[in-house]
This record gives sequence, C-alpha cells and structure tokens, in this order.
Amino acid sequence: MADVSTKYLGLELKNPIIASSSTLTDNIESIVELEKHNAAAIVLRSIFEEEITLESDHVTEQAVREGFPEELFDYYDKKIKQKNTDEYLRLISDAKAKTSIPIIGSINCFSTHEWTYFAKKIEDAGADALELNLFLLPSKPNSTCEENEKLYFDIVNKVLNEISIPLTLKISHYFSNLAVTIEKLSQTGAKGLVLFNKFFSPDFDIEEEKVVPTYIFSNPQDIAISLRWIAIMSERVQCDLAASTGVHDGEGLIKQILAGANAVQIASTLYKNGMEQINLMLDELKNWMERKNYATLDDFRGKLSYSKSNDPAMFERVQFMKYFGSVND
Amino acid sequence: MAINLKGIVSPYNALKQIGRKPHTVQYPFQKKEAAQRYRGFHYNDLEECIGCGTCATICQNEAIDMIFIDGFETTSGDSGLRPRVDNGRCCWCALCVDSCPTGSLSLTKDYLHVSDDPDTFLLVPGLDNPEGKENLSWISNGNSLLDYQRIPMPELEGKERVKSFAEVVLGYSEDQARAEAARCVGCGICTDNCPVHMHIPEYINAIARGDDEMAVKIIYDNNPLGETCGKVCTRRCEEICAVSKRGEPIAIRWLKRYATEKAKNKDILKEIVNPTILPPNGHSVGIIGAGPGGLTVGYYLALRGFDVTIYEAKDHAGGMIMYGIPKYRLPIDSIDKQIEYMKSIGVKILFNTKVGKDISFNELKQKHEAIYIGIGFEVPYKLGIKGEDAEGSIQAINFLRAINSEKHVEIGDKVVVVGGGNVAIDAARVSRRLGAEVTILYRRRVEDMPADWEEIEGAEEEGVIIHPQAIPLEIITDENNKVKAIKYANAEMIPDPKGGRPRPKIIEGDEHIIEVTSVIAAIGQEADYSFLPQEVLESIEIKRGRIVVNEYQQTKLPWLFAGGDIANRRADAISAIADGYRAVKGIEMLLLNKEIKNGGRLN
Repeated sequence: MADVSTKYLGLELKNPIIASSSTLTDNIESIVELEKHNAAAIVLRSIFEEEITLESDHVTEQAVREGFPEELFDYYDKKIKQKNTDEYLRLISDAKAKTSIPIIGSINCFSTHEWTYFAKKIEDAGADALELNLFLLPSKPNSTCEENEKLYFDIVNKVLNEISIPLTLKISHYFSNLAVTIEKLSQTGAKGLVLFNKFFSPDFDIEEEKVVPTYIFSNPQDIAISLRWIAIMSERVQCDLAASTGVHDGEGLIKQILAGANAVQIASTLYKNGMEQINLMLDELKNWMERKNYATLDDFRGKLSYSKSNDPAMFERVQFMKYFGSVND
Repeated sequence: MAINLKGIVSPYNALKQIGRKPHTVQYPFQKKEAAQRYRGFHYNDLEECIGCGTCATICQNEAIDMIFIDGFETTSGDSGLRPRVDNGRCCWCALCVDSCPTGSLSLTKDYLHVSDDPDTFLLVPGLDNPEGKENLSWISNGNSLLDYQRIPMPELEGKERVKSFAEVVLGYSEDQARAEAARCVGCGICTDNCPVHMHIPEYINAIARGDDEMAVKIIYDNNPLGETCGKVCTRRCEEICAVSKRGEPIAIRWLKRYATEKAKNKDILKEIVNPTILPPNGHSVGIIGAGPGGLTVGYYLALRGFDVTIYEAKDHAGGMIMYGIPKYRLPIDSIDKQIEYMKSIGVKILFNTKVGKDISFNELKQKHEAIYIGIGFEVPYKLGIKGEDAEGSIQAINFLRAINSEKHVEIGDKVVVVGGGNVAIDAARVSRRLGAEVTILYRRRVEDMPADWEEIEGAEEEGVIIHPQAIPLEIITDENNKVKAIKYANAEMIPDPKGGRPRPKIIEGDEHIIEVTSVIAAIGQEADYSFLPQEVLESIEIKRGRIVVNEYQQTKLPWLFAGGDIANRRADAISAIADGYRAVKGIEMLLLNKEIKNGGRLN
C-alpha cells in the first residue's frame, strides 16, 4: 500500500492535498466535511484587507443615502474589521476543536501595518500555520520594481517577528525577476511558498459594452505555469513548495510532486466536482504509485525537476517557434 | 374804443411752448421716475427667503399672509411658504423689510398698478414682479430693526478651566437673558429642526417678557430634560435660526439653560411645572436604561397614568449624560435635580439592575405589557493595533465613566487620544484637567472631525494639540507591558470619486513615535444586545448595529420599542428625548387603543 503522507511547513500531512483558501473553507460545516473527505489540511478563506475597506465604504454609502450623517460612521471600518476578525478567530478555534487536521490561517494584505498584529492573533487562536496571500498589482506608474518588491519583504519580516508558527507565502508570478524573488523569499524564514495565487480578472461584455468579472475557476491547463516554476525552483529554495491553480485531478497532483512540490492546494476542482474529488485524486495517485512501484512520495518527488529531468532546457523554452522546431526534428 | 392788442396776441404766446418739453407725464406712454428712497411695491428674492413669516407677523395692517407657491418645498430651515402682499391694505411703511431676517424682502420704485380686478392687488413679490429686482429702492441693510449680535456667554478662561472640573459656562444674567431673548423674531423655523419640536419661540418669548417660570413650564411640555439640553444640546435649532442668515443665531440653548436653572431644586421645579398627573390606568411599561430616551418615556407615561419602571444597570440615572459627558459641561447636581423631579412624579428607577444579569428579559416581558429599550452604545470599538491591551491603553468611554463616578484613573502626564468625535474631545479635555499634556490623533482633517466645532475650539483653548491626518500603527510598551509610546503614520487625503469625504491613506515611511503615559481610544461605540433572547433577536431587525423602528419607535415586535443611539441617526441627547417622546405616543396608542394608525404594528 503506497504511503501518501507528506510534510509541509513542518506539519505532518496524511496526504498532499490541501483545501485551498476559498468559500469552502469559511465555515465550520464545510471544513468538517472537507476533513471527512480526506483533505490533509485546510487553508481558511483569506481575510481581505481590501474587502473590509470596501464593505465599510458600502455601508457608509448606503447609510448616507438613507439620511444618516457620514460622520456617524467615522471609524465604522474598525467595527467591521473587528467583527470580521473576531469571527475569523472563532472559526480557527472551532476548526481546531472539531477537526484533527492542520488548520492554516490566511491573510490577504497589501500593506505592512495593522495585519501584522492580526497574524499574532491568528497564532493565539490556535492556527497551525499562517499563509500570507501577498499581491500588489504592479500598476502604479511611479513605483519602481525595487519599491514594490521591498514591500513584500517588509510585510514578511514584520509578520515573522510577530509569530512563531510556520509562515507560508502565497505569491503571484508577476515579478520581473521571479526566480530570484522566490529564492530570496524562501530565505526570509518563511517555511513555505505557494505558487501561485489565482486572481480575479476583469473581462469585457461586448454586447453590453461593460467590464465584467472573468470566469472565476481555474482550468486544468492553468497548471502549466506553476508546474514550470515548481520544477525550476524546487531545488533552489530553502523552504517547502505547494502548487496551486490548475491542479484538478490525480494526474495534476502527480505532476506537481514530480516537479518537486511538497503538497498541492485545490479549490476550483472542489467546486466543479465536489469534495469526493479529493478521494478520486488520492486513488489515482495511489494506483499510479503502485503501478510505478513507488512506496512513498519522496521516492519520486522532484524526479522531473529542472535539475533532475532529462531535458532541463524544456523548462526555459518560451517561444513556440522553438517548440514546434523541436517537434519537427 | 381802443383795441387791446395784448389781448389779441396773448393767446398766441402759447405757440412759444411748441417744441418745449412738456411738464405733464404722458401716461401710459411715459412713467415718472420715483424718488431714490421711494417705498413702492415689494420685491422678494424667493431663493433667499426662508419663509419665516416675520414680515407677516410685524405688518400692522395685516397686509401680508404666507402661502405655498410652486417650486418651493418645506425643508429644514425653510418653511416653503412665501409672503403675499395685499396692496389694498399695505401702507408701505417698510416695517416688513426692516425686520426681514434674511434681507430677501425689499421695496421698489414701482407704484403704478391699474386694474378693475381686485385680486390683482394681491402680489406675491418676486414671483409676480421678477423685474422688481432691477428697481429696488428700500432694502434691508445694516440699519435693520434686528440685532444680529448675540449676547456673549460668560465663560471661564481656558487657563482657569483646566484647573478644575468647574462648569465652563457661567450663564446669562437676567438682563443678558432678556436682551438675548428679545433678538428672537419668533418665526419658529427652529422648531421644525429640533428633533423634539420644542416650543422654542414660545419659551423665548416668555423669557423676553420676564416670565421665566412660564418658560420652564413650556420647556417641560415636551422635554423632561430641559436643563440638560440647556447645557449640552447639539442645538440643531440654532443651525437654521432665521437671524443666523445675516448674523449670529439666537442663543436658544443658553436661554433654555437660563430658564431651567431658575428652578434651584426638584421641589421648586415641581412647583413651577406643576404637571397634571392622570390617575393610574392599570397598564405597566418596563424601560431598559435610564438614559435620556428611557427617562423621557418614563416621565411622560407616568404623567399619563402608566405604571413605569426603569431598569438601570448602573447606580445613577442619566446614561451617557451622566457617565459620558464631563462634569464641567453638565454638573452632577443638575442631573440629580432632574432625576429627583421625575421620581417625585412617579417614575420608578431600579438601579444596579442589569437586564440579562440581575433580571432576565423574559421576566420583564411577563411583568410589563410593553418594553422600551434605550441602552445606548456602550461597547467601544477597538483600535485593532498592537499594544492596545497594554496597561495605560484606555477606552475613552470607560475613562469618562470612571472620572464621572469620581474614581481615580492614572493617566500620567502625556496622553494621546485617538479619534475625532465629542467623546474624543471630552476625553482630551478631562485629561487636561488631570494635568496631562494632550495630543489628539485624528486620521482625517480637522474639518472632518464629527465633534462640535465649539468643543474643538474649547479643547484648543485649553491647550489640547490636535494632530490631524495621523493614523496610529502601534502602541509601544515597556517590559512590564505598560504603555511607553505610540507609533503613528501621517496620512494623505485621497478624494472619494463618489463624492464622499476624502479618505486617509498612510504615507509609507512617514512614521513617527510620541512618548506617552497613556493612550485613550475614542473611535466609536456600539450596542450590546446579548441580553435579548434569541427569539427576540430573530424577530426584530438590526441594521448597521441599530434596531429598525417605525415612526413610533416600535420594533417589529408590537410590544417592543427602542430609541436613542441604538435606533436613531444622530446619537445625541435631544434625539434620544425625541425618540422617547414618539415612543410614548406609540405605547399609549398600543395599550389604550387610541387612534390606531396604519393597521399594522401598533395593534
């Protein structure tokens, strides 16, 4: 019988499938169900700094429309934040009490300020680890690359000063020097990196001629980006790697471990296929391991990484001309 | 017979006039220019006019009445009415113009009107003669009959104030009160903006004519906390005072203070007000919270024969006016007098009785036919920054409550207060009286501060430093977890594209540290509804932390009423009193089946 247990952030996981931060992980009922369906760990839905700001603005706007003086809601964002964070901390406590798998708190932040304090609260509430969902859209015309990247390191260092539980960083691939940035982030003291986060993106409705949200779920084809970078970086980083975005089935899971991932995070496939998809993916993994005579994940983890693969150059090819050229050869 | 040639030629002298300008006016082809200060037909700048009716009141010939005209609605500070002049009655004395508070009404040089229709002599100035604007002759100017300068209120000097908790405002003398009251034109525009709709012109008129006791009686007709309002009311009435259009508004609050202070104790007060108390009607009402709203409900229901009991968690009545407002604004003797008077007419108050702890809500429900909740906002928002749980990090509402309860609070000699509302200002001014240097950190601009401008000025006069656009980041503590300093960042203001107030955004790297002995947070409060049973919480609607009520302060449960901060939009004492007054009407209708309106909830 194949042993599919793994270690991620120093935490013992019974298998490499982690339920990623989503609305499936924002309530205790669903979290318990995910455990029942063999999720190895849960990343709670991110508490969004931006979401709180928007909620406060929305409440104030509505109140003003109804005739309330705006001043009455002078610090209302603090109340909303307090309510949301209290609920979040309660969810961590509940999840810890009602499950036996690791519970990972998650914060989505874009500034270095109050959220570092909240990280400590998450630790105090009993979370096994903390995932920082970091992203700053590099769209400001006056900000340099250095300034943007410095903010990431400032946030990470501040949070690391506050907490003693493992910290993992969920990042995007929007860096001008991605490999070096990943390498440097892995040296900060963070125990893990999650490659990569899935973003909300705008789309256009050409009939209505307006901006609309794009399709929110990932597709199996989306695995390509994280697969490439897990493979390239798995030997170079000083921390664990989790693959995210595009892992939809057992095949995707196996690929990411071959690339060098310690674990994968899934969400879209759970929405599309239900929680039973976790067991299907695990069955596929186990069958494949037995077929290939692998007893543990370590037996094949990173076998197709950049440094170990038979064709490392494949990871660096980006132009289709070259790709098709090699096919013709 | 000699021929009289002169007699023959003389008639031809008239020919000399040919070509000369005639002395007569060729009406209707010509009109005679009136004198510079001629008092002809009225002209009214309809946009400037607020429909106060002072012109109609002062007209000795009763030539002016106030009517609605198209395009002008009743709004706060504008009755929506405009004057109509009966030129058959008018004697063009111009008293109306000279007493017009806004200066909108004038006289023109126009004087000709020929018609066989008597109705056409009724002129709505400005509407019927828009061209009059170009022909003004008698306008209201600085020589108006009105006095636009307020009688200044004597106050302690800033340096003196911070030495004690003595009342800052010293009060009008009799002469000053009479003179100030005499400035009022009695238009009543203010009444509409007062949440309680107090009879302002009537009690000011009583003061002006020297009948202070009548003023007190009028005040207590619909406000049982007149003295409180005379000291700390947010005075929305003064914001729209007709006289304020060209001068300083009548000091309505200070006049109320003057009158109510005439009753030196509860017995004198009772003797003056001498209310009619109806015999018991057999109905029982429970009130949770002895704040301004709860006290108002208790007072007027008791007068109407209801058996009322107020359940108060603390050992003193008054709610926020007792525990939140510093004594230099509202002395405890004043509150005690008002409460004792209410008790003397039959209001029962059970002190130290917290609903949900000392008595359950369901017990109350069994004891009473209707319940009014007026618990106020007493749970403070947290700053949400590191170090706020340290020793020396205090919530303003707890700080003020302790000080008003004459307890000692150690704040040291350097205090930072965070916030921009009246609670923040109160905490800052109290800290000054305890001998501390005080800085207020507020994240927006000074003009955005929700506190009364008068309170902000008062704080500055007392030496409080206000640092706007400053966002606290961390409270720094020593090894014993005691407050040592506060770190804050300066903020830039980002315009709101939707037209709201600009919002503060931290300027990255612009961080500073102030060494302090205490940090007092005053960024807002909310209600604690945990005493309400789940089935009640599920039956009523709570929106943005406030209980949703109808025009009678009735919740979705017909027997349950709510008011004050937990239900209104203003979060001040006068609004809570207004809520209480409306709830009294609702409860009376509910329990006595009086004129039930709207079907729905009242029954």
